[in-house]
Amino acid sequence: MMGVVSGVISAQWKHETLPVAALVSILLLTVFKARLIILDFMHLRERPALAAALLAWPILFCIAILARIAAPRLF
Amino acid sequence: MTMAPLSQDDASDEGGDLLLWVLVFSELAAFGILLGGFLVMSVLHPESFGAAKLHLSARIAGFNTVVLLASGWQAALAARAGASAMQQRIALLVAAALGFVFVGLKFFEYSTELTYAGDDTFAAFFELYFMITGFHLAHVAFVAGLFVLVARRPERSNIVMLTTIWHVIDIVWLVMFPLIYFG
Repeated sequence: MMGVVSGVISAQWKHETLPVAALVSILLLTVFKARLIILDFMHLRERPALAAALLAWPILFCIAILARIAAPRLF
Repeated sequence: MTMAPLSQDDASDEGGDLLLWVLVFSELAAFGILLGGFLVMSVLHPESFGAAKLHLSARIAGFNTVVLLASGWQAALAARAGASAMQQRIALLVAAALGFVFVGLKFFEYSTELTYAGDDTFAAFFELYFMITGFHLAHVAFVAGLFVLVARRPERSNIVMLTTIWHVIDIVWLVMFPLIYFG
């Protein structure tokens, strides 16, 4: 994730257009990180309903952000 | 039927878990409402939000993202099983220091953006921007301060709880960063 964000900073520095793939990668890695924290740090492997409720937060926002980014390009 | 008596450690673990879930759920609910509001406003006012975003410093925000990720990594090192008290202390202090670097950089970023905040065209954007990022910044500063306190006498239960909250704050930033700066 640090590599992807470093790429984003580099693109900003050179005033290049930010690749959508970089934003998608950040959001996907965020969901993956959230899953690791919920299952391992919060010990919710045995409570799948609670884990799913917590994981719904980043997934919902990632989908909403991706839809927001994609909408002007599609319509 | 008799039930086995709950040991004091089990009871405190259950209490700690409950407190952690309440904290995490309330954090996610609060930030969810704020970010949801921002998302709706950005759809309703795409021109002014799009123009206002050009005045934000995405480079500093990107650098801050790396700082926060590094801080989360150090916090995870402190929380790992088998770490000695000295290793925990060092990792917690590095995590706290990186948290304070985040705060310092965010204040520097604010200083470059404040001039545009008074502009009526961007009023709605900057009101939400300062509210959301300021609320997040307060969390970063507070938990970084707690890291310093816990580093004085590291106990694994406290470290795990703080590290979990720190990762939640980290995740909120990772969602906030693309939404506010690039969304």
